[in-house]
Amino acid sequence: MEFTIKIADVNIGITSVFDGVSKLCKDYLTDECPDFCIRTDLEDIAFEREKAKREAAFEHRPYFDFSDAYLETLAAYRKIAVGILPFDAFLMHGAVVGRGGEAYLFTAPSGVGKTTHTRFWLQNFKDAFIVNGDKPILRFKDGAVYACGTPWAGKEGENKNVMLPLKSVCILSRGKTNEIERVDFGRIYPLLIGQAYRPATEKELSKTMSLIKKLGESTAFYLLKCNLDPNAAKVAFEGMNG
Amino acid sequence: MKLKYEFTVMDMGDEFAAVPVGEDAAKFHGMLKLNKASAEILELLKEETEPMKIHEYLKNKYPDSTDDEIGHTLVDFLNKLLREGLLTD
Repeated sequence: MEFTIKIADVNIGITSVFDGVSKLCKDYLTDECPDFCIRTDLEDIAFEREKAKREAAFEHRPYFDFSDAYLETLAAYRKIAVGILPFDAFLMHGAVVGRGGEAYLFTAPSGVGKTTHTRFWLQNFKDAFIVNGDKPILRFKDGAVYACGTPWAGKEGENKNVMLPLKSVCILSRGKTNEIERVDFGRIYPLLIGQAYRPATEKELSKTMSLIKKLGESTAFYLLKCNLDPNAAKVAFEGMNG
Repeated sequence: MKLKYEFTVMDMGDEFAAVPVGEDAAKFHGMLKLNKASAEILELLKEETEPMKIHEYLKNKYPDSTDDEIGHTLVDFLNKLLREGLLTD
């Protein structure tokens, strides 16, 4: 299958074996000419399967053998994450909420509660929406940094095809009470590096790290300690707009 | 001894961040925060070397530091790399 999608204002031509990728990307299809192209094949699918097996064994997790069509979607995003680097864009693990024409990125290691916290935003603010619940792309363009929706959005799949100026990055951690504080980039960049997609080659990894460093020079960072009280969303919003 | 993986090192202002490169390196999920001296040690460990050779290099580079000061810095950093499984024997 051949089709083109637009993510982060970049047109990406995709050639895939199965229709899983095109179905996933249905809200991002475009007729414009690709800026770059990727192709996934059976070898890429086999690579994803072996990688999943290795990681499950390494982390002592049960392994589930996902379908070829699903594994191909992972392979496609892996190639997009590398192909989009020259456009000053990179993939970051986190959840992005949009509100008032701006984006707020919440990131944390898996299991801390990104999804729960972003649900609180939707409960508290009628005009809030999920830009991407799991794997957004951040892009620098015309002197600003944008958070971009993509169809790859974790098991909930929540995403919206938008590109919003990034207001701030918020590191989530669990706390007894809801508290937010502004923090220096120097304090949290190791976590950002850990949450960014890590390409396999030195050149691509170096580019990713340079973009993270650039993020540190252009964005405000916050640390939110939060509990399961939905008011955590109000604390976060007010703290990042104080 | 030498590093198991190639590292990308980036100046992050007051310190350096070192991240291992490659598919195998994904086993090491984290990154290393380095000061100037440990960044230099990491650079030397790209090639097969010995602790005493590194000590000698640092002694020439930092003549105002004592042998023991350099030794502590070196041993602490090598131990850190060993704990993280980032060095070959």
